Amino acid sequence: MIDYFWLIPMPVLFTMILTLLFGKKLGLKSAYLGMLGTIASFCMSLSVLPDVIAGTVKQVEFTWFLNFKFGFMLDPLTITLLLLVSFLATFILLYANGYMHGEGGLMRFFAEVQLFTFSMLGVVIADNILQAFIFWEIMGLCSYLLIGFWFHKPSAAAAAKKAFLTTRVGDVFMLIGILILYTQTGSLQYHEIFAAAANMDPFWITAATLGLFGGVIGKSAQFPLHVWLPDAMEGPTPVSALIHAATMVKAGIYLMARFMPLLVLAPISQNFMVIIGLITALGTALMALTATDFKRVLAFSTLSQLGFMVVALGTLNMAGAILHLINHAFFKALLFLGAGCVIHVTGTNNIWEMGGVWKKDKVTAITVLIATISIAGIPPLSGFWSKDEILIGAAHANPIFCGILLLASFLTAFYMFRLYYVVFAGKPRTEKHGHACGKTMLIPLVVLSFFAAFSGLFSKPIARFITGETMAHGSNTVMMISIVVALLGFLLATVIYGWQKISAAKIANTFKGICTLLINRYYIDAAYNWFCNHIVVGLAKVADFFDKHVIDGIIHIVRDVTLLVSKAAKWVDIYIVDGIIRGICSGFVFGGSEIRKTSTGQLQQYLLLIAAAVTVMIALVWGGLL
Amino acid sequence: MLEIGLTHYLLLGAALFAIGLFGAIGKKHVISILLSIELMLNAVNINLLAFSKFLPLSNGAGEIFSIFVIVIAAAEVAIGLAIAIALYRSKGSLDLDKFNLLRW
Amino acid sequence: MMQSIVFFLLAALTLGGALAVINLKNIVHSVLCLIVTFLGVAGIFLTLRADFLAAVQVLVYAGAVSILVIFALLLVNQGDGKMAETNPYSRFGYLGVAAAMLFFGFLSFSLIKTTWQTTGIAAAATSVGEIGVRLLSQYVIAFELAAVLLLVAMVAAIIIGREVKDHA
Repeated sequence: MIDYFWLIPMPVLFTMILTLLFGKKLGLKSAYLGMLGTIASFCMSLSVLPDVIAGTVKQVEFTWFLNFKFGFMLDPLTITLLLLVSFLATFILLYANGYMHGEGGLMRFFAEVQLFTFSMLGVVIADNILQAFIFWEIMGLCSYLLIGFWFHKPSAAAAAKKAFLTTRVGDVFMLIGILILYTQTGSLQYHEIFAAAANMDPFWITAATLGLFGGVIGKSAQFPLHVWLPDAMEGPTPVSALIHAATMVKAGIYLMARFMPLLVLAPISQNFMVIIGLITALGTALMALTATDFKRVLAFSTLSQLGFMVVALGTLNMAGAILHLINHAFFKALLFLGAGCVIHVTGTNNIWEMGGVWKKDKVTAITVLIATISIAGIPPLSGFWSKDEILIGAAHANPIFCGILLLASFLTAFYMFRLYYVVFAGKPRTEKHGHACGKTMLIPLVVLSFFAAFSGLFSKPIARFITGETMAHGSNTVMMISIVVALLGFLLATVIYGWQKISAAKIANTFKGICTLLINRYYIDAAYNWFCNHIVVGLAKVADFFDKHVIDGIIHIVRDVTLLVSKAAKWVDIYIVDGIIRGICSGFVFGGSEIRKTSTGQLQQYLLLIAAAVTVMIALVWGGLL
Repeated sequence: MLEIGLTHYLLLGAALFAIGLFGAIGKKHVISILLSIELMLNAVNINLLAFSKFLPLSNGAGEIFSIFVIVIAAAEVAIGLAIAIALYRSKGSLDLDKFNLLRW
Repeated sequence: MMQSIVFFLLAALTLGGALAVINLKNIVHSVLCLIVTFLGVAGIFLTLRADFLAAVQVLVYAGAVSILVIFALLLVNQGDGKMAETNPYSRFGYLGVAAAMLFFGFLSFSLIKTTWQTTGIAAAATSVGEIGVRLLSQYVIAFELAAVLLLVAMVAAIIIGREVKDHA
């Protein structure tokens, strides 16, 4: 099996094609078809796992064209991601079977989800940056299609467009980074790049890693390109789960982890990443405080957690980043699926219209509680372990980093429990009613909650597996502070929203300015809009003017000259070239019609001519001419 | 008088042929033209025989050829007369000036 | 000497007959003069010591062909009774004279100018027996083809010449 590891993503592609063929007939059952593919991929990954644990690193490559190759590689990082993605995709598909009940366009939906999964597997298993980039872009396409799944809704269509264009900005930087790598090392294969990195000019290493990080900023939604992720909530909830937990945003983290050998050599890029990560982690956590849409809160929390991961990468703490990636995948998938259930039950997205869900849906309430505790970083649930790992890494690098992250961590605990209290505690605030969740929706919740709870316990072996190093024992101080901070967040949320001892509205009034700023997302979206509407459109108008008057003018002149020349050529053609040909033709026609007249049908005339001809020939013979 | 040689016979043949040629060109009646053609064939026969007798290497081939010429002339006359009769039946005339079936 | 006189007499007879064939107005007369020409040619053949051919000439031409032509004439000129203006010149008459004379002029000029490698005297007569042997040995293919040609000509003459039944 290990020799054919590159087949791992193929079952998903295969079932995707089957879905395209039979999806119309299968309807919701396409989910089971898709699960067949993801389960097959999962099992195949599982079957090669022992070999990888034993230390095998496999690589298969074929020449594509020139010295470009396409190939596949299998190492601990890859196998971890393969397992994670196929596992989560399986449950998300199962969940979608219940969630998408009664929706139209199911064939499209399931095929796109599978393509999304397939391309994520493709990014992970690629052994060169170009191939990864191709799948990366397919993923961008899928995100566009899925966020805009309800494309008849203008906001969904706009969100899809926003996601696509925003990530595209990052992809341009990424492409620049790839091109720098190619020109500097002459190869796009990871191992060759890393082998050549030692001899590279540090400037170019910095430039290349910054370029790649540009792509990560787009895909993993870091400041300042984070704006697309909250809007991406317009897509169906399973898609949000997929984007946040298994694919898309995790691809960016994966890519930076993959380029860790290069990043080690680029301190400037590291610092830049840390700064971006910190801004994202803290800034988006603040935004989550004021968000009223269940899924948006989760989106902001994802941004914040991604910020943590980027900080971890920036501090060269790959183990922390990947562990958090795994744990985050479990609890964020769980949160989104839970959110889907809640929305299903209450029939609304707005948390202020929810409330009292605890009584309506105990399974969801308990599983979401597990996820909330986990994300808040309260031991012994998984989030605590990986967050702790990141905090320790950051503290090693600079205590200020650690401080900022702790603040973000405090906010995380606070807004997550705020969300939990508002939604699950108390009484329903509206008369809106949804319908109960089916089994296919609840089973994934239960399974994921198990993982969200306990995956942290395996941090050490997983970290050793991925990085090949034994995890440094954490500092107890940082660990204690992080626990205290998380509990403080929990307590504050309990005081304000649980016991309602302090009025949230009063606080909001006190910090009115800040609140408005947060609700408007720091006006970044507005700034982008303004930028697009004024600067870009203005530039476009100038370009348009230039195009219409200068370029078109030149084109018109060229056109007129060409027309003139072609008219002259036409004249020459008609009157001279054709004239000659027609002259020759009519000469033949005229000659023929004249010569024809000698053929009178008078036999004796012919005979006379023959006699004359023979006579002339005799004369010529004797005249010596013949 | 002078010795009669090959040239005399050839001149006789030429003269006879010229007369036949004139007849073939200058006469109107279809049968008259057939007669002219017979004259020309006879001229040819005279030539063949003269060469056969006077040229050392001829080995008498001219006589044999003359026989074939006569045979073919006989066939030609038979066919020609049959055509003339058929023509007369269909057109009511044998005036060659009136026929231009081979006209363009 | 005697030979020359005979040749010129026969030549005069032949050419005179030929001219008469062309120039006589009555076509029946023309045919009769044609017989004279044929006989003259037969005489020429005799002076060339071609006895067999002379005999064939008399039998085939003077006998068969002439009679055949006269029969044909009688078939095509039924009814009108007059034969006086039956053999006119065509519109190419003068051109024909000119062409024939020019042709003869150039041809005789070239004939006289040519020096022939001759034996000087006409060769001995070829016997009928020898001709027969040659026809059936050296020239047998041509002989057989001539036989087939005669057969075809006979059939064709009958087909072409017979009265066409009106199918309409």
